Amino acid sequence: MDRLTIKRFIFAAGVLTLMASSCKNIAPGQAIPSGKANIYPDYVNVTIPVNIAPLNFNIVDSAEKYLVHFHGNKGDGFFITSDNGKIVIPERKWKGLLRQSSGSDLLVDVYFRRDGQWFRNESIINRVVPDSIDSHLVYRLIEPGFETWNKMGIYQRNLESFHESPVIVNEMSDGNCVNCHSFSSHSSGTMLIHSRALHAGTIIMRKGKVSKVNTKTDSTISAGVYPSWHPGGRYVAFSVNHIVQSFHALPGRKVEVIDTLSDLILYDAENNCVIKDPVFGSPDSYETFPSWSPDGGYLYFCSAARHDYREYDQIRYDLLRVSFDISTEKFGKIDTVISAAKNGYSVSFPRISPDGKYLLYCKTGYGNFTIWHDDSDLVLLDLEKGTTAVPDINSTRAESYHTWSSGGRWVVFSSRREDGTYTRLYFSYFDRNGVFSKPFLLPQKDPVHNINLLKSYNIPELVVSRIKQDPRLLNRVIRSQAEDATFKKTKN
Amino acid sequence: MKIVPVNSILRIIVLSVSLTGLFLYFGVFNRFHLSYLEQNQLFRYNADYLSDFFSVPGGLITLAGSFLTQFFHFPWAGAIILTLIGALIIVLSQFIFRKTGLHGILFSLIPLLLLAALQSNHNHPVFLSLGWIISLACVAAFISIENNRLRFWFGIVSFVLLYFVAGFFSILTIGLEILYELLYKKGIRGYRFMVAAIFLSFIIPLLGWKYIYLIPVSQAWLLPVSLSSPAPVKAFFYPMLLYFPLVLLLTFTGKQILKKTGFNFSWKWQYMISGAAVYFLSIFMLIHFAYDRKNELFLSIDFSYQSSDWEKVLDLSNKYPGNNQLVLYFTNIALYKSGNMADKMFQYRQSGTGGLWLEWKRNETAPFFGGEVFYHLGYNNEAFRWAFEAMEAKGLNPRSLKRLAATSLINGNYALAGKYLNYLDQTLFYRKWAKDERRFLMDTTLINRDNELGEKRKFLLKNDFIADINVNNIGLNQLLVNHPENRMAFEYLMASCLLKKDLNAFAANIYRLNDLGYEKIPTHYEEALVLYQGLTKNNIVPAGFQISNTTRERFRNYAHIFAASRNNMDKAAHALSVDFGNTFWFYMQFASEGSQSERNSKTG
Repeated sequence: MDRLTIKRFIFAAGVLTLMASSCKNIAPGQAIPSGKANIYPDYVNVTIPVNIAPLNFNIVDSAEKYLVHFHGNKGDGFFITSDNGKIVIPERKWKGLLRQSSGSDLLVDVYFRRDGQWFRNESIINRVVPDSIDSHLVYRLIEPGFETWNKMGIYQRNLESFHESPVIVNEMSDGNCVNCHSFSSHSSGTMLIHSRALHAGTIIMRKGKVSKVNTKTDSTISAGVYPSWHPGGRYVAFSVNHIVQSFHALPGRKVEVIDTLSDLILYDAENNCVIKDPVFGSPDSYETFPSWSPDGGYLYFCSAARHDYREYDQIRYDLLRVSFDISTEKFGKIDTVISAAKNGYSVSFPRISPDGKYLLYCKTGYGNFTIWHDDSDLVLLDLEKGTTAVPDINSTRAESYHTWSSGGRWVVFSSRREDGTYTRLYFSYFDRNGVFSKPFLLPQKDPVHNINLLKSYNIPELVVSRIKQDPRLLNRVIRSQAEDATFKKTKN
Repeated sequence: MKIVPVNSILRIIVLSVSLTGLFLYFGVFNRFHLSYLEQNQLFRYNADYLSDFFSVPGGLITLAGSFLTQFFHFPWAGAIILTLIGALIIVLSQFIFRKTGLHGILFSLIPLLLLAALQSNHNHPVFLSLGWIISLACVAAFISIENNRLRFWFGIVSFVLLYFVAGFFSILTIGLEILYELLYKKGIRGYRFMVAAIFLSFIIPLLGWKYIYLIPVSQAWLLPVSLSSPAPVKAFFYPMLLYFPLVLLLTFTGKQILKKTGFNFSWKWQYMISGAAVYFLSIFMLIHFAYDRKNELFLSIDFSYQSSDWEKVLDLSNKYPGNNQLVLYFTNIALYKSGNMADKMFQYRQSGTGGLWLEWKRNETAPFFGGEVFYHLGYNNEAFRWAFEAMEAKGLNPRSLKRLAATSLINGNYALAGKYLNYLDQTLFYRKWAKDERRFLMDTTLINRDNELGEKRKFLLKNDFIADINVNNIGLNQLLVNHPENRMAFEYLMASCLLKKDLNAFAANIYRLNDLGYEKIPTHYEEALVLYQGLTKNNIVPAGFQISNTTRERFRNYAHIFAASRNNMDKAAHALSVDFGNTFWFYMQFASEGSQSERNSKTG
């Protein structure tokens, strides 16, 4: 055989192999209809962004063989086979299909073979919308412990793939606590992280520089705790709190996190200065969870009448707001947005949509640390009409920390719906009529990853690009001496 | 017929006796220690778990150590593994020393004893012993290569690989290789090797830190060794570290000074006597300084407790010298579980409520052991919390995971129970337990019918309260408010009253005897009642019960002897201790609450 003949032979063998393999991926013609597919995560009838990573899933019902056909209205799509029920979708094929299906339905046909006979579940119909979600999601991974912690870290996940990388891990910094990562206007270039216990301080990243500051002053309750960046990227509103924990005895209830003191401060990152406005700081009330309006003109926050911590179930927070004049660094008059306490419930974690029209908050029976309250639900407040609605994205377990995407079309929120203990992240599409779609779980390469993971996802924050700081640099700053903030009190 | 030289026979005898001794040392005298080591980790057959080990230098030997430690589930298997490691240390040491001209079996036995001493401490994980083996194996391979170029490249390449496999031990290896080159292989190529090796030992960890590992920069050279090891570990680790370079150096110096090509400490009687003296002295030091008999006894109590062998716990508790809070804690649980708490608790050492429950502390010990009492009391949320905290403090371990699964099943959180069972499913020795527990997930009605879980289910709380765990209180009153039929909560409440010498609180709860189905007043309660009546003249004996004549007679005798001592407390204590040392009266008068407790056990 000459060289050309060999080449032809190899080519022919290749074509035959390809044909044979493609023959395998044809839907069985004689498949018997067999009800709804039982898959985990529940990626059924969900709305997904055109740029999301593959929604890998696991078929729960046992069978000898599985075959799944992904397709849209506009093309043939592709097939995935599996022997163990895990459907892992090739990223390139998935992206192509999402692009094709943008603005229309993506169909998933599940076939399975049992006792030599093929069955077919009802088609799963998901909707692909052209509204992209921000490319990166930042969260903390930590065991949902009580008082002790071990390994924890703040990570960023590229939502367009499965790539997860650490922003900072506490193994680098002697096992300290790192928390409360926060961004200005979804920008990964302007952020802060707290370091607690060892190497205490707040790490501020802005204008390409990283610094460590100590926001505790002699005139404030504590260092800054729950943050909210002013959209201008210079100021941060912080709560300052004294927090205690207690542990419940009843099954299904675990931890109570209670403020025994709390107040709000404004931090000027440009001048490393803590500003205390007399509008806050009433000794008879607790103020917490500040959240700026997207134009920076208002600061929303939660406020409750003071109680002894043993009356923790009597502490209920209203939603208030106060105007802010950036030129004078002064706050105006406080308005009540939601009078929750007198209606027997409590509000926490207010977050305003980027267009300023809606506010999403957590509603619970009492208190503010809603992740430990099974009754906590997300509630949507229409700021123009003043009406509230409980969207159909809640569960019987806790829904808590949530963030709007920069475009306002997506919300990511934390929920303990799976097992009541380990927090998982869900996304929901918010359409132009103000309606949320059925939420879907953060996709993972291993579809059962969330079942097995013994860590919680804390504080999901969407950012428009990757955080570029090397964790080693952040670690160096964490280990450095914090620069004490100065204190300034504004006058009425 | 081939005649075996006497030297060889003697060598075989010494080695056999040494290794047999090592096997017995671990298999008999440290068996509970080995079992405890296994309880502190969880080796899983899972890709995610395995990948975690690559995130730090030395991760592979950590993985190998964890793999071997899982077999410590059977202490004899653990003893065999450690004996094999010991045998390897002897073989490798002997090989290295012979290559440098040092002949004599004692020099190979010293590292064996040092390793045994290190491995006697539960803060010295098995992977560190593997580190020594792999390091010495590389050094042995290095010095066995005669070709200079080949040896040079072997040293360089093996260092780079070894760094990722064994971390710090690669630095130790290259250090020994440099020393060997410096002392025994002079020449320009040797110097080149030394320069390259020193450079690499600096740059490879630095590059690892910069581009691979997320660790503090100093840890790039140290991991997986920890400088924060407790003093007993350091006391043997540093000598082990110095031993090999020192022997190489001394051999070289001796050869130079005495103009000899080597030292052969053959089997002459003078060498044998002096060698035996050194060897036995080393063994004595090992037993004296490294072997912790009290800790082994405590761990045997823990082991018996885990097996629910209450009589054994009580038997071992009597053998424990001195007061140890953890021993008292397990003793009291065993006393209740064997039905003896209210009758015999003062027959055992007592030291305030610290022996009934452990004070909450954010460390490895308190949550690991301290959650047990809550589990038995039916305070399920606290049992879950302490198990969770233990898992946080220690990392994944079978004991905490089993407790988390059980308490989740009792609480009716089946998804959570399934999650913990998934982890146990991935192990070799807990898979069966997990499989057995899974039947409760398949049919949740089985939980109520199960002896252990069903009983705990009956005591699930109906009225919430906030945990206030401190020296004086763990919520026993609230448990009784929820379930007046909770006998253990009652006996622990009464025991705490007696141990706190709070007779009023005792008197306020004695009425519960009726509700809890007691047929007679337990001995210690009778003792307390007699005393209370004597002091207050109030008769609070519940209707239907009476104090036995025996107790009344004993109290009269006690009072008589006490009166005879004429307020001389030392004399009274001496006179009463023999016949009344096991009574509440004696505790009330002479025990100093909590003063004798060893608050901090060595286990932790």
